[in-house]
Amino acid sequence: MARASTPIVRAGGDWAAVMGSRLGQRPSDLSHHAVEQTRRRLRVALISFSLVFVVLIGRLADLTTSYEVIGSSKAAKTIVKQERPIITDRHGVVLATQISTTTLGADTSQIENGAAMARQLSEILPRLNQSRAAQLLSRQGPYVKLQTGLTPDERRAVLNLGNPALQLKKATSRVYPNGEVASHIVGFSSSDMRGLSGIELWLDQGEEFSLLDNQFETSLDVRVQHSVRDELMRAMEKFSAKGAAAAIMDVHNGEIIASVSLPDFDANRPTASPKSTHFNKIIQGKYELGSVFKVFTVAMALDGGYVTRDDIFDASEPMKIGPEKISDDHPQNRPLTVDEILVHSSNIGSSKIALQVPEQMHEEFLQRLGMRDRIATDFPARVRPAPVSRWTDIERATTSFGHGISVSPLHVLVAGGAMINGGVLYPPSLQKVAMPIGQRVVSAQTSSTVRDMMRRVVTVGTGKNANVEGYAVIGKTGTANKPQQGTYSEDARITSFLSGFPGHAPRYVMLVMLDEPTGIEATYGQTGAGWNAAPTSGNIIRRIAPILGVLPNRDATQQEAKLLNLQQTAMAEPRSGGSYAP
Amino acid sequence: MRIFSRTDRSFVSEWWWTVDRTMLIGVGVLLALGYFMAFAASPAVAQNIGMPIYYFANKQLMFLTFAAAVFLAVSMLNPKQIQILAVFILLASIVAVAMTLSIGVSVKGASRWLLIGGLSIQPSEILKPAFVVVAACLFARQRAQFDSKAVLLSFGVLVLVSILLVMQPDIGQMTLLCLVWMCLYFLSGASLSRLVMLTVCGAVAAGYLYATKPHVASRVDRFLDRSAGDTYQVDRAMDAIRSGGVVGVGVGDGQVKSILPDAHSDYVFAVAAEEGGLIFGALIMLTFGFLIWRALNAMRNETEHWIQLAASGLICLFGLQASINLAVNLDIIPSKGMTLPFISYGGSSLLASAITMGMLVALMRRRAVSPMRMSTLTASQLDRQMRGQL
Repeated sequence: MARASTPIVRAGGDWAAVMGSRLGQRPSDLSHHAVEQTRRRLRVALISFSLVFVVLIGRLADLTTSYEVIGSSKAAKTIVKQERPIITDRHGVVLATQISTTTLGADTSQIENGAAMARQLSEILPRLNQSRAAQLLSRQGPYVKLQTGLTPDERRAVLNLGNPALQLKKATSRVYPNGEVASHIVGFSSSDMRGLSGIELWLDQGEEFSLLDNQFETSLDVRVQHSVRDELMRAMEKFSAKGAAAAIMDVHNGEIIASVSLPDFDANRPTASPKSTHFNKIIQGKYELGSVFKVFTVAMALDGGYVTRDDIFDASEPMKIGPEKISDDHPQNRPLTVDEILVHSSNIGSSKIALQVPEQMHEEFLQRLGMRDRIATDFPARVRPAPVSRWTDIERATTSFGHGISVSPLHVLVAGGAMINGGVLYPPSLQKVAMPIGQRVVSAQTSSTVRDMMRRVVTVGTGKNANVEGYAVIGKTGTANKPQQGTYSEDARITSFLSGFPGHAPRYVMLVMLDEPTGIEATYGQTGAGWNAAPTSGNIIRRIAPILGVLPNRDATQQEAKLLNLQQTAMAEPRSGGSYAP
Repeated sequence: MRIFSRTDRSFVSEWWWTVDRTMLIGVGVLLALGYFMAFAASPAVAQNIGMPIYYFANKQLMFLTFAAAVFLAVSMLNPKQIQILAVFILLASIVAVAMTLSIGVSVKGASRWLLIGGLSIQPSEILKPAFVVVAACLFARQRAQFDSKAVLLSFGVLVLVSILLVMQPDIGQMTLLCLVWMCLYFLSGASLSRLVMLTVCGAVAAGYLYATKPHVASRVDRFLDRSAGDTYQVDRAMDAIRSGGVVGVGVGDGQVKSILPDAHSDYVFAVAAEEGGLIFGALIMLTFGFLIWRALNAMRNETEHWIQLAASGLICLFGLQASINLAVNLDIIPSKGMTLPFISYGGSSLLASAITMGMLVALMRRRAVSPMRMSTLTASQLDRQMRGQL
């Protein structure tokens, strides 16, 4: 080192010297000194190695004894992720659960020929996209995910390939055994088990649910849900409608029994359907639902004592409010009783009734029905009704027959329930309600009167097609032209039918809505609600009433006329003991 | 019953009475552990890559037998023969390492192997003990004869070998060789200022490698920052060691061997610690530690400088390699392709370990001391030597 300029090549000639020299064999003080120095430095080496091994053993001891803490926290994390509740209907039928699956990934750094491996894999995995897999496998990244949800057979086939680059991981995936049937309500979740819509999203929004056996029991009845969906699909097809929706609620506690919005999607493959199908018309939709509002108008006027059942309003000619003209779809061109106004769905009549009510009372009544706010639950994606900018006679008049007021179908369903259950409004619920807490909005007497009138709509009025023998269906049609660029469309309509059954003591309220039904031969080209929404409601009730344990009462049917005239309030008194506002 | 009589002057008998039998036992324990781990760790790896289940285990058994024979044979050589053997192996393996660059077999992106008669051999492994002995000779010569050319020569060989190893690339072996050379330089009595200077040079070289060799940089980065890339093997090894606990999960019940590609080679210790826990892991460590301690301690009484340096260098090579492997397994330093001597799978590594320990044990044998040298001995050294003769 000292003579660094010495060329190394010359040193090559020293090999013979090294080999031949009697290295260190000459005893000398020099050699002895060197040995002694090395001896001293060996002690340093000994101490260094001792320290290294102390560190190594210490680290080993630390690692092997620290497992409990790290292991348990890791395990806990996994459990939290897998403890997503099972969602069931009201009878325990599973709507959402999870199953163990296998995810296939690959360590690309161990793969020489990505295309060849992709070909090999596509032979055993029919669902694998070969070209995409080849692209992934040729990537630089350390890990690529190839396919999720391998079946046990596929998993075995991959294992049999015996390629260490392929990695199989246990995964949990959420499945929805009923697919489309309740997809809007149950919602769906992402592949990493986060809720993205419906109840799945609701569960992740931080609210504490008291779950028994980690099971979220909804108020839905999957049998009813299925029947409603089936009938709606038939109606949609029959009337070539763009969409359809229906919801059923228990009038005595607000439990939602069924809620269907069409077109819908398979919750197991939400992305396979267009995004528009994820829209839940019942909760997210906002429509001018038309004449079903006359029920509320009449109930308001009767309950406030501003009109009586036998008051007569002239509907012989269109009504003028300022520049606007209100006319009837089914013109009778004569003075009508309140009963007749509802039965023949007279816009003129209902406008005149509404104007009998003081302006402020009208607004207050709509607020009490919840028409001005979001529905009072925590369920995600509830729509807020369109705000009202002006509240003059013309707005009040159109609102009386359901125009110029945009609310969700759920709003009408909830308010409709209060009109027929004896006058108490219960907030809707997607879980079973142990202690229903409602708010009185009209008197039991008014509710009873409204029921009679709604029965007459079905027996002699626009809702004849909804009648189901033995169930004394009560209801009200609603036909609204769709708002279009500031005015109303001529032929695009939303038709709806608000109904209750059994009519003598309603237990369920239902709203059926069709989006742009077209006229067919059987309806003589008519597109009014009485021709499509009403018969669809009848079909649904005919099918679901037995499921719901509602028995047909043929005696009641025979004595109907008599009973209707008696107007017994006792009969209509709700069986449930809600907390009534005085 | 005496196998070897004290008066028996035959070759083997003389070997028996002069060899450090405790070292023999230590190496025997390591060979046994290697045999045990070959059957514990490698069947799972063989299964993973679709080989017959005992493919690696049977091969390793063959290697172990061969290694034991080589160890015993080398340990019977005298110091002079060790010197000649070392020079011969060094020259041969330098040529072989150079050959790997052109006709070598490439595995996982490095061409470190030569295919000879159906066996793949990693010449850089065999090179290490030979290099240590030759370098020790040169250092001793420098001290004995003020021949600075000798040190320069050893440095030249180190540079040549390092360049070849970096080209392979085999940064791990190169680092190990440089470290051992530094150890030798230190033990031979180099001035501390030069050592500091060399350490700085080493640091600069390391920085250069970090900057120019992406795989070196990525390994260091991944060690320093877990999120920088894939730390799959290390993470699984950590899981395995943690799950082993104090007593282990039981022989054959370990999980890590079925998911770690290098479970039978670089990460064999993790498998051992998972199945045998702290107790088994510590046993392996203590065996290594004991061998190192005993050899270094013995060398403190050695009177022949080149033997003292060569033997110390060999045990440093052995000890550093074991320490680095254990430290990687315990996630103390960045991952580095280094085997655990005698325990890890691999024929070349085993052969190199056998030669290393064979040479060490040979150099540690007691020898007759000439009366002239006696005069230079300290009292305690003399005492040791005399007792050895009796």
